[in-house]
Amino acid sequence: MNAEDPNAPLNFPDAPSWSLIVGEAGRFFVFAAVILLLLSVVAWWRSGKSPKLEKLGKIGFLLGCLSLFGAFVSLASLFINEQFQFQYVAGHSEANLAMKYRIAAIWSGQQGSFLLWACTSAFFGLLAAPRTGIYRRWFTIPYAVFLASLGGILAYETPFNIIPDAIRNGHVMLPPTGFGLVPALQNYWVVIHPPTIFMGFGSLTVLFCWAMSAMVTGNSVDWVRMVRPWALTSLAVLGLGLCMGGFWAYETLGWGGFWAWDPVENVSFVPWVFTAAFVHGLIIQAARGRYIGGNLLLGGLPFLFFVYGTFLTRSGFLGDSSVHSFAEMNRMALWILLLYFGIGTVAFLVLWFKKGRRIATETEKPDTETGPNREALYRTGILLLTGIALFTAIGMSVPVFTLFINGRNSRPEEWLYHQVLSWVFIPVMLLVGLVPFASWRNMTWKALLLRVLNVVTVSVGLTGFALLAFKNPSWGIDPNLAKTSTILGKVEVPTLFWVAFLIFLTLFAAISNIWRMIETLRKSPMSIGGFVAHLGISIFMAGMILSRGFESHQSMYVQRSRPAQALGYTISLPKNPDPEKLTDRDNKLDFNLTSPNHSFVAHPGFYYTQSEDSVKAMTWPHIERLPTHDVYLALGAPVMNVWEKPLFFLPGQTLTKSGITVTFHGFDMKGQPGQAGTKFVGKFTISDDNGTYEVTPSIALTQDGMQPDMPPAGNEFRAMMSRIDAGTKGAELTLLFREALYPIDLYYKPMTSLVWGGAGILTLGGLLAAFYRRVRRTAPETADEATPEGVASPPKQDALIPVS
Amino acid sequence: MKNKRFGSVLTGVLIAGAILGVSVAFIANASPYVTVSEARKSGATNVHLKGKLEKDSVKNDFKDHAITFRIRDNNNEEATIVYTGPPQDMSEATDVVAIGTMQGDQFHSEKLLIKCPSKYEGGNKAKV
Repeated sequence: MNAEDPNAPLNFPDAPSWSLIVGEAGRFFVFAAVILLLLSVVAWWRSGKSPKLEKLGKIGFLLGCLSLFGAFVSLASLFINEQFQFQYVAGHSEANLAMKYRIAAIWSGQQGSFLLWACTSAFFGLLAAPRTGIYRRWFTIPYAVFLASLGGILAYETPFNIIPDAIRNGHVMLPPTGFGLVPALQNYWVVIHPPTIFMGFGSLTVLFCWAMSAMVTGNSVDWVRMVRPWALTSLAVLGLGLCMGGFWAYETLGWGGFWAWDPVENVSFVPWVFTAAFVHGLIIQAARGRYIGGNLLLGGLPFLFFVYGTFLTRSGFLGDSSVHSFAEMNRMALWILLLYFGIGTVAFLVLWFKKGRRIATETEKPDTETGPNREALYRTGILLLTGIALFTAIGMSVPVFTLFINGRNSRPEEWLYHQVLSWVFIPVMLLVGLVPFASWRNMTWKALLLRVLNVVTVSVGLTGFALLAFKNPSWGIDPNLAKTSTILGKVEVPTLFWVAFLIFLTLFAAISNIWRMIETLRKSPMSIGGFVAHLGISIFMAGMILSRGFESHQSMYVQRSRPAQALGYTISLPKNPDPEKLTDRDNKLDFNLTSPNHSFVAHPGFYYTQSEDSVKAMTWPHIERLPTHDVYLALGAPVMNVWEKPLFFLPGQTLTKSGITVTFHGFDMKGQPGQAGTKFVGKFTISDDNGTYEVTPSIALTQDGMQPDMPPAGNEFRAMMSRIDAGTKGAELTLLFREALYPIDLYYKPMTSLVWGGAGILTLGGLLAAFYRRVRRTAPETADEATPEGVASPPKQDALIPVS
Repeated sequence: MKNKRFGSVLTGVLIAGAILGVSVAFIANASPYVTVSEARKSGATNVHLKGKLEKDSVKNDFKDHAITFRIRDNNNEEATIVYTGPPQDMSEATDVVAIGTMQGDQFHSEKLLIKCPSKYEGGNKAKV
């Protein structure tokens, strides 16, 4: 920005006065929101004695939420109109950024993402509060307290500060540009992923406050029917956000994976799994009038774990263990977050232990069924899902635990998560396949197993068929029995067997759901949503397992005249990048990949960004999507310099670096000193494994300054005398490659299409389930929802099978 | 009723046991951040070694696809790192976390976390 000389007086035009008003308005909106929301809390609190205050409570909540939106709109207008006198705007945007990135920049930093959380939360609060009926009082109070806390955080962690340097003599100046939006963030995902996932986070507040209010009011029955669509919405939106995050990582980060168990990923994954458990719990309660206590607890956990995760990732306790970095947070704001988390958690848990469990046992219907009936299997499934969520949360907290135990961070690697979670994942997938055949009524294991026997048989057959298909050489998979994996923490088995078992698991789950879907289709086509969603999950997991388990990977360098071989392809660079377009964000570099079976042109993105002190190469991977596999090509920053830094030589000196020995013999001057056209010609001897070369690079004094030339040194290198020192008669030599080296990572990832397809089917199933439920709700509530029902009779109850 | 109480107590104990077991498994197997001397002493595999990059020490060995460089930890001790993972741009790195194992005098790593001085936090820094 204004950094050429920090001491030079700045001379920018005055900032428009409207922008200062908007900035002040943003600040005011935040304070107003806190006051209005606290007012709403007090009014609702006292409305027990004087019901007139209810109206005040409602208005306070409405205006408080609107104020938060106001703060967001203020910030957005500063971004859209490029008001770089504001620190946050300058820190995350720059002049002439495309409109979509100006908007995305709003939430690309700490302050903005808190504001986004506050707004999505307020949005869901406004939507849900009028529909909470008898729960409204005790729903609004914790909701308003939470939003007020976020407002408090925003008051300290404000995006509306003006850069101190931009204020001169009481005038605020408008700097021409900002520091810019991190180039790695600049693609369409940054526009859609954060709002989606924050919508999911915002919706969790609804579940938490509803559970809280069910416990305070002592009515643990009615809320279940009311909260169900909200829980489904949370699950769907959060799930969509998670998938988007994974696809973003896959498409842009260049390491060929969707998921890395990074703390920030886990922070969104844990609430999602808890929400999934909650949705299943709601089905039990709706169908059987049981699992009441569990639901009261599960309603609050997604939100509380998200707040915990937010605190963890923003507090700095995780040290360097996350690839997502957050700027240090304002201390006071961090305290508010911690205080809210502490009080919220304690209040919720105490309420649950003291009251929630009691009212649950009072209203709970008796358990009449035995054997592996649907309720028992759901309960088991919920317990396992809770296990996945809890264990992931523990893994995410390990850096903090070890910080307190050993005084330093330790980090669980990806493999450790896989080892621990596979203990839970395997039974979960078995249940996904088993439950569709279980009935709400009494059932014996024998009866259930007989029902799934066909599915097991088909799955075993298809697993064998799949393995045969994978042996096809054109797929490039090497079913090598010598390769082993450690599973479940201790057992060593051939990787092939392990992957085959996992394929069987996902096939079993998928086929079982397809089977029941077809059976149901004839009777009640709209109620297949649950089956479709679970089919989606199975396919999604199959894609994850296959693309990871059978992945192959090779790294190499490609030069213009030297193609490289990898994974059966010959990779060549047909032409050098166009120098004119090297700073163009949309620039592509083409590589030809040829093999006997399949040839294509890969065009990974490649350009340079320039800041005041350095030039940095940006690259985007190329993904060649084929029905059976992806070929994933990640380009690294091209290497031009043989040495990271030029070497300085005194006359007669010999130095060796990176296996190259250079002797400097001195330089001669040609022409008049100090006149244009004067040339200094250096004499160097350069030798490497391939030979010894005499080179005479020169520097010419021209009107534009010193101009070095770059004569070739052998076939590999060019020599450039980048600087000479008149005093010591020494010279600095830069050794360059004649042709740039392009580092390439080539991945072969089978069946990635299943990941995309699975996510799509999952979403479809979710929508279907949500839609069907809506239709049902318009019908008068009858007792049939709670009537147990066998599978043999028309499975109307299947509408209750969860979204995911 | 008594049976039920027993059931919930058992569930509670099982859950607590699972949580404890998983915590221990995670903590025991998590790869720690170590100093250079600890990495030398323990010979443990899969540790995180963090330090400041010595700019002049970076060597690209193109034949072996290896990058060799030295880092200096907080105790001012040096270690040579041989990195053989996917290509990395070290030109702007200041701090490096290498994940791997000390073998003899060299720390062999296939995974690096690179910290660059970020200009993008500049706006916030001005406040502090």
